Amino acid sequence: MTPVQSDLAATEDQASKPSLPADVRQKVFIVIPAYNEGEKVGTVIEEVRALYPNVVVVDDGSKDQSAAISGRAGAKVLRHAINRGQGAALQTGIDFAILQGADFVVTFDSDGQHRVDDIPALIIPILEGKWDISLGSRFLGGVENIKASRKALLRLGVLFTRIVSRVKITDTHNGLRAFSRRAAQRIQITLDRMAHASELIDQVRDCGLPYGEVPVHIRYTDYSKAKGQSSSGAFKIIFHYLFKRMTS
Amino acid sequence: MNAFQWIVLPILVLLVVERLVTLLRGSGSRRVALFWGLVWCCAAVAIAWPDLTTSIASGLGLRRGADLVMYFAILFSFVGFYMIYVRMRRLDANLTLLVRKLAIENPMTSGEMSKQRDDEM
Repeated sequence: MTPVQSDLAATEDQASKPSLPADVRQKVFIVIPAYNEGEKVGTVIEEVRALYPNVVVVDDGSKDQSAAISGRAGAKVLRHAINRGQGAALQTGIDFAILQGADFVVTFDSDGQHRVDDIPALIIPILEGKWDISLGSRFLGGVENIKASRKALLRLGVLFTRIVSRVKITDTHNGLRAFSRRAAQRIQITLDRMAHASELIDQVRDCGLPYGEVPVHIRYTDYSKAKGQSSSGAFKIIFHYLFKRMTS
Repeated sequence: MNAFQWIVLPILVLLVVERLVTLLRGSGSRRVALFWGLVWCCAAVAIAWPDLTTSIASGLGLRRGADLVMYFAILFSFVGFYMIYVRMRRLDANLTLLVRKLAIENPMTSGEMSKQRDDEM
């Protein structure tokens, strides 16, 4: 991997936010899983595509116009014939991105809670050969409009991961991540639904490639809060994750 | 024989015969046929000679044969639930692989997207 520090420095904007050269952005594939996100996904894709031409939306059996809207916004659209869950949709998008020759794969949520500005910070350490997997952390960066109960639940998730997976990171259920091509090839999500985030941390630990956390910003809106996982879903996640660990 | 035995034993005998016929015809899994044949035989023996379960129970430190049967039934049910759940998860995983393969091999074309839009309007 060729270090590109000088190029990066040259393309930093006035607010000193890092950005990526156009030739690197061409090799980045943004994977966006979407389930009934017709209201928001179009805007998200337009924001992403302003800088990153390769956007893959995996429509996870939506009943609304998510697929059509995504296509109109310029994304490559893959469609699950039936709903299989976010983990399954992510793996479909990652597999497709690898087949399309992606050098970097970024996973990005469709509800508008992630910021396009954070993507370079995830890619740069990979580009510089520092590590192969960048995990976004809202607790190192920032988070807007988060409810105290959600924050407490996320902290419990971090504690759970530290005890069960023995991985010391600050944010375990953040959907904003980046993988080098070889890391994306080694990751194989098998938990189809929301428990995939915990499984992914185990795979990151076991794949033998270096990883690190990057500060990112999450903005919760009324829309993303309404679409997001309910707190009671945490028990289901724990059950699916532990069952998988016990039976594999 | 009491009334319960008169009612249940013929049913169990019929079930054992049905499993035997399946075995002899070679239709279906031999292992499954043997397993269910054995289950029905054990049930028939326990109902025909209730004292037998009582003596086994006392040998295992339980008071009544009925307790022994109930404990085994509960254990059997849990093992059954577990096996069904594992099989369901495996089917689920295979279904996802199929859905993924179809999705990757057939990315949506602009025509399909327009059709979807028209259908939903």
